[in-house]
Amino acid sequence: MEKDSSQSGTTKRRSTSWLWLAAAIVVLIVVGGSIAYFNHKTNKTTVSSSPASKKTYDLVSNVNLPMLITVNTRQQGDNIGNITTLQSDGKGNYTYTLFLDGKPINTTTYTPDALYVCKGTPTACVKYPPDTSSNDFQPTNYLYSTDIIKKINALKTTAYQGQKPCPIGGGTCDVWTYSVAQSKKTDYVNTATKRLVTVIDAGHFGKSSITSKITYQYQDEHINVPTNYTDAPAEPQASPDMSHR
Amino acid sequence: MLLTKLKKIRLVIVSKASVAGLALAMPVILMAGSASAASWCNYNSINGHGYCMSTQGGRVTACDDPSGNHGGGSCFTPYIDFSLRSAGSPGVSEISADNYTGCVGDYGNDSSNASTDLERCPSAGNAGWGTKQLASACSNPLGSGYQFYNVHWTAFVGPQDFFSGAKEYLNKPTAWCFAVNPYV
Repeated sequence: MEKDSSQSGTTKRRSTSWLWLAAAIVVLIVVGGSIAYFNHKTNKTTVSSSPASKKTYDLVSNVNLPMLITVNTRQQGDNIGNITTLQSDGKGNYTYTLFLDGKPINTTTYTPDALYVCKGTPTACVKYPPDTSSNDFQPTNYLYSTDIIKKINALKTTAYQGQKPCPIGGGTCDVWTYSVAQSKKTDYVNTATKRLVTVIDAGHFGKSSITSKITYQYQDEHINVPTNYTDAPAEPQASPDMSHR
Repeated sequence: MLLTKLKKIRLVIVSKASVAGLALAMPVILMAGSASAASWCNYNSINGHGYCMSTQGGRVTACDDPSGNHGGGSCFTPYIDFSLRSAGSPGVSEISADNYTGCVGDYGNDSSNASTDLERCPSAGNAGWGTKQLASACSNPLGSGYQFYNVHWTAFVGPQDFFSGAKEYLNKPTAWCFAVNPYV
């Protein structure tokens, strides 16, 4: 029997329209989902389209400047936190001090020739050979070399946030933000001197939120190298296995 | 019949596309606003390996993770993430193991043993020996990291040395920075 050609033509047109509609929906969902996924994957910080957001991350290296660095680390919900300081004489000597209830409880003095750890009441000091253990805790972790500055400038997430009052020392600061690892960092650079004055590190340790405020005060610092000490074993990182006592 | 078949095909295409689109969008939904898990490691500046806080044989140990991101080290089995929790006083924290009940403290709760395992750290009441730490930021500007000063031992938390399976101790004389990917 001959088919009714008009009916079969209508059916064909209708089914073709549905196929096009389905294909369009597929494209929309896939493209939309892809855009959302890759936008998050690149961890982009919203960057203003204004010319100011393109401003180069610009500050002077502080590696060779004498200064006092204060680090205040606070867990979420803790309004006080704890304090450590790093004094630098700008010549490669440093003193790293921990405070508890406002009092110094442990001091490590780093010099090119030796390392001194002082603690206790009365204070007792132990002298170690210079730390060559490749340990990644170094006083220079808090310093901004020209290499570090270049790398921060090259990060995709680095964004200029405009000028704001400096958190310490008065004056106006250029402010940049960037994200690395588990932290979002906000750097305040004095507009007049181009010196870094404050870093706010908003980070996480696992599920815990932690905020650290690191301030830089550029001033002469004298590093007191202990003269009353006892010598320690040659390996500065060795610890006795207490279970064998 | 042809129309019916085409309708069925259309439905399959649309439903699969919906699932695909949703699957692509889910990472955004899941990751938005939450900290991702990470290893907290002491990085050897010579070989670039991260020696990451984990557990092995009932002890808290350092696990060599060449990738520095939950991969590679056999001592990661079972894998453990750590977080900080308040110990009740300003500035004082406990390092808690996310998958297990307990915080890094004196091995066997022995106040004379500075090696570590996971000890009790209730939100109220007495915690185990050596579980209280003072945490302080220590990473370079391109990383995230914290060092821990143990209140009981008046010394730093750190591994015996840079090798996989090294015990973590609470009485290291100098600071060790537990960091995430400090090298860019």
